[in-house]
Amino acid sequence: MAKPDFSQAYEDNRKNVWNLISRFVFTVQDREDLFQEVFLNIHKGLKGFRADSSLETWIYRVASNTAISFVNKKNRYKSLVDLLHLERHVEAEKEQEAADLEELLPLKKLNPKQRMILLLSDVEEKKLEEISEIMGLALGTVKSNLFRAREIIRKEVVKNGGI
Amino acid sequence: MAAYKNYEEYIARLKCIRTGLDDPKMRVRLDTVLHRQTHSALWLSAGMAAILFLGLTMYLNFSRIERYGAGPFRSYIFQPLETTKQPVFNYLFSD
Repeated sequence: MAKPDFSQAYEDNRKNVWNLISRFVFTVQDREDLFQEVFLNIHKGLKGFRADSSLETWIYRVASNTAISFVNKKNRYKSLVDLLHLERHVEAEKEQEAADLEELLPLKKLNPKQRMILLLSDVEEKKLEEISEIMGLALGTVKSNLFRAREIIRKEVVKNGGI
Repeated sequence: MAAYKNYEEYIARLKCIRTGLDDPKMRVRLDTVLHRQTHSALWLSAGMAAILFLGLTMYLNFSRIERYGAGPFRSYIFQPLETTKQPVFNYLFSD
């Protein structure tokens, strides 16, 4: 079977990947860095792609793994990164973009795995079985993480809404 | 942050967030990074070759110094006869 072409894979999937990661991280800088990292990993791994799953699922898997390890790596240098991001927020974002980014803040309460599962399920509208395949987790784990994530967000959103 | 009645409303808002996909910098940066990676690999190879060369030179030099002495105190008197004829060859291949 012919190996998929990177340029084609990039064109076909960049929108999906961008939509996913732009809600997964909270600054423009991180979005751009992560987007690049995801496609670099896709570029590296494409030669070894076996058609066990669809290319789209495989790309989502690479994106999700890269994003989770990106956030975990960032958390190790949290204080410094937070300081730098604060400056970036103030200096670079336009007003609307800054407001949009603010809407993502409740997602910060979730750990990276929960956040990814919630985004895949409720924003990207993937089926639970597909999420389980993308993330390499058991279906039960996906369900329990999703339930917990929804609870946390519900609590956060209602609290901030003052209802 | 805006107020939300419930979780579903928040998710609907989340779906509408503008993500700035049309930023043309993205594609350029991806290419740049791929290009930069090739450069990094080349520099890394060149660096490793340089370190290897220096290491080998120092090793050969030290083993020579150990045997014959160094600098102005280098002694050719105690070299075996055949090594004095072709110093460059012997420098590289003695030992």
